[in-house]
Amino acid sequence: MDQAVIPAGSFVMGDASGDGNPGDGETPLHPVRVAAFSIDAHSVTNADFAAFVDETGYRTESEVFGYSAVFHLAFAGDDADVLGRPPQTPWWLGVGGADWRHPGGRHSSIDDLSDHPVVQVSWNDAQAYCAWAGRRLPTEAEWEYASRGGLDGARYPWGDDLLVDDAWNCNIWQGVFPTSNDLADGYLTTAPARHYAPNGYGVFQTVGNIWEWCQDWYDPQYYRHSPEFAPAGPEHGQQRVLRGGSFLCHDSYCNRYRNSARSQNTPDSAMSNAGFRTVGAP
Amino acid sequence: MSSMIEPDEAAAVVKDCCAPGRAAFLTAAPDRSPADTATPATGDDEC
Repeated sequence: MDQAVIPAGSFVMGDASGDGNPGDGETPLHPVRVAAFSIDAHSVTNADFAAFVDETGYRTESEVFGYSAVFHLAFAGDDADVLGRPPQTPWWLGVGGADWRHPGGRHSSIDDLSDHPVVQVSWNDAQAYCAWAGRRLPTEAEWEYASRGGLDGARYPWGDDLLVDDAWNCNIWQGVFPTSNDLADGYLTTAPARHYAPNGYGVFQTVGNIWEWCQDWYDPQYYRHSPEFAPAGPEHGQQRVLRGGSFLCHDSYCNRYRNSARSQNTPDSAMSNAGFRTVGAP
Repeated sequence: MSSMIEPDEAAAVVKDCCAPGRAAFLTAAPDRSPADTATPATGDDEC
């Protein structure tokens, strides 16, 4: 795994553009200082995760529970595999047989996706990988600092404009969510982990493609009292932070494909649009 | 129960495309085929 070395420094953390969802807690803007660290240049891929599983025999939580969350247009299973469809988000299916090797269900595979980010991994699974790799998950502050690539205050890792020379620089949803994706960026689900241009720190695709687990517990009020140096999140919580947005992000919904955007889920949850990357000593 | 999602209508009541937690899938009935999509039954403006 290639690493990007992120220098010690300071930045203004949070949403400077006024784009955030009020309930997510992207504000208030606040100064943050971080120590130097290294971060995976790209999301942990299926090949990376396979090396871990091959060596350890680790079974992910989706394999243990027997099901995971699959976006409806990526479903590749039998009708009987569908365990539930939450009424608030009917585009998400609970699918028996979905796991990291079968991200869309039992009839899907990762045979041609070795360089794509691993998905259907929980926060707990990510912790296990980190322990094996001698690494850890980034704090939310480290993640955002790395994602900004030295462009303090910018909306995206490459600046404030979504398109670069009229081209897509990230993998999000184009079309009418959640039924029609016109694939202007080339992908319905995941893109290869190094597909788009890296940011100023040499970090690929923090925004779009997949949500990435962070170390912190999630609290939308945390920015109101977080320490300036090396904030590591609340001491307790029910859900862990996810950062970066995914191939499902679209303006008409939660607009979370930005440096400062925040989401969360329980540490045992896994989805077809979430993975992780790791950090360690510089 | 097999009505198509009307995207504009869905956007008006749900502003979060993200997946709910694992437990939510065990309490939500699979009331239609995966090939179908459906308008959310209820919702609010919170993400």
